[in-house]
Amino acid sequence: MNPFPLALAGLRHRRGTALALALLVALGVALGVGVGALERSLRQGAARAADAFPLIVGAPGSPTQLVLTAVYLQPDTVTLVPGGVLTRLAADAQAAWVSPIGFGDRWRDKPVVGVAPEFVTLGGRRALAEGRVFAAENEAVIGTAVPLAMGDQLIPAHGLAHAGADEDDADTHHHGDSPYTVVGRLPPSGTPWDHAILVPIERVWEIHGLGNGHAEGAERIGPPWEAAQGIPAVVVQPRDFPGAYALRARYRDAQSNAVFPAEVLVSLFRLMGDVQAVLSAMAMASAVLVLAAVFLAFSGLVAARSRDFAVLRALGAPWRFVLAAVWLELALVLLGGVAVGLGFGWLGGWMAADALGRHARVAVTVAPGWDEVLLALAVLVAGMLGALLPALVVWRRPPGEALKR
Amino acid sequence: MLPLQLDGVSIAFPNPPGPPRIILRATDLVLPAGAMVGLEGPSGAGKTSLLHALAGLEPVAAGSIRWGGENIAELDGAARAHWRRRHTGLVFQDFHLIEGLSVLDNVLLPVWFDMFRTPRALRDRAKALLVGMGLPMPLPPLAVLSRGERQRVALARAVLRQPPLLLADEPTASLDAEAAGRIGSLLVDMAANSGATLIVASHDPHLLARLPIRLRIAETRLERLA
Repeated sequence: MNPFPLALAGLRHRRGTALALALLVALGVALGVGVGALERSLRQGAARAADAFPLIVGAPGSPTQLVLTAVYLQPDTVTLVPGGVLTRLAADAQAAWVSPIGFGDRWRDKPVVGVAPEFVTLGGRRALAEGRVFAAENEAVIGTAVPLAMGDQLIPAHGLAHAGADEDDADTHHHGDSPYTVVGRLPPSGTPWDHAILVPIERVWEIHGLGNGHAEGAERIGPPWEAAQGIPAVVVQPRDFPGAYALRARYRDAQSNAVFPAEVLVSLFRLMGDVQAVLSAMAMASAVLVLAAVFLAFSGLVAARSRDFAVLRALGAPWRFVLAAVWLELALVLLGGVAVGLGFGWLGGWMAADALGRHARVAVTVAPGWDEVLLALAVLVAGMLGALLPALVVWRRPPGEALKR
Repeated sequence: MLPLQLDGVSIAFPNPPGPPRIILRATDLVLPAGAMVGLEGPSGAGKTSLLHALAGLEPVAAGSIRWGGENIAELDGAARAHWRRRHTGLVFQDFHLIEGLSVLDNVLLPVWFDMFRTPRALRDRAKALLVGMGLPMPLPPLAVLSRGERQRVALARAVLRQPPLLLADEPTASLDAEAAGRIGSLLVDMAANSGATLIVASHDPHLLARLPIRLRIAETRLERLA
């Protein structure tokens, strides 16, 4: 038995209809696949960005805002945590290293962020892509996306980086006296930090007329800070797992708040998960609608070919041949549609994730996942089982009638 | 090559909401193997229905239809399809070729019911039949064939596997006189050469004139004309 030539003949003879049907299937599948892939990749990208931030200490208030500020460099009007907290943290035996995160100015659209040298190397965990860590107040380490070379100099402009600062106050700031020299570059991280310019926190304090955080006359870089000033956030690397919880408990008081970014992200993702559930439900509903439309069209297609099928039976075709020919024709349309839809979905999800990621400066990669393949397979199997119905209808109709018409 | 024997055959159609429409009532008939039969009668008298019943396409209301001893009236649908595949070649008024298949594939279509690959011998025979019937070579696409050419393709499909029965329903009715004459000759020659039993339902006096046995169906009765 060989029903292929017949099925292909049917598709060839009505290629416009077949193509339109396959596209309809593709659209329905693409919608479901795209939503799933987009949500997963956004979540992975966001979670990866938090890798460098085991514990964040900030002013009491919204943990979400704290994470947005420190991890995603999106400072809103941030309440500062008092310098005393930083001094205490730097001396805490359970902290392997600490680093303030303080916003200076901007160079073009790249934020200048004041940190400790330990943050640049993540306490020795992160090797620089180029150069070395800053060792003086006028040196800077740049993110991978900052268009400068080793040895280049940059003069930041007083800018948007610290919202809440009063423009009329500008004369109290002493920027631009001496430029920064680029001495190092971070490896790519796929996070907003790729666009940051890291400078010593001491310089950021000085620019704002707050001294350098050290005792009078001292010109060191890094902890301890005897005269630390307020900062938006402090990153803390705990020595060990129990230490992490001890630190979090110890710095949750009237002066400060301590959060695990991973924990905050989980609750954010839960919200995102709800949104995704709604989106998936909509995508599924549209897939079902598309399948329903396709079945109507299939019935039409089968009705239009009922004479052909009657001829087959008149010529003595066994029932399995007629069934196979009808089913194969519909199955090929479905298979083509589902395959194209899977590709479209991934492509669409990738493009959407890329656009969203670029906006948030988070690298988002959409990798094909089994979830989407399973969804596509489910549609395919449902469709192929459904395609048996028109095929059975064909068999039940007496062939004589169709021949006489 | 198969003799036919009808015993008490009745053919009727459900005709809701009225009573069943009777086409043929308690009819007996015997035809020898290799008979060449013309079946005539007014339009709507049931020529096509009788032909379909003889081909096992439609069940009969009563009686038996024996082709060489096998009563096809008592076979179920699948068994009749199998019997049809083995024993009959059908030709229709409107050719009933499959659009989208090539001319050669239309002739080879019945082969695929049983086999995945077409044997070389059958492919060669199909080509030889088409050439013998005067189709242009190389074979043009199906869409550009004239009606007469299409009927020749349909005839090649019917005789490809040399069936012992050839049944034709108004094979010349939709053709012009010249094409009709050619198809009529081919049909009779094919049956004569292979010894197949041939039954042709037709209005065409030229075609009917070439068939030695003449049957007429009218008002639920089948009679043999002298």
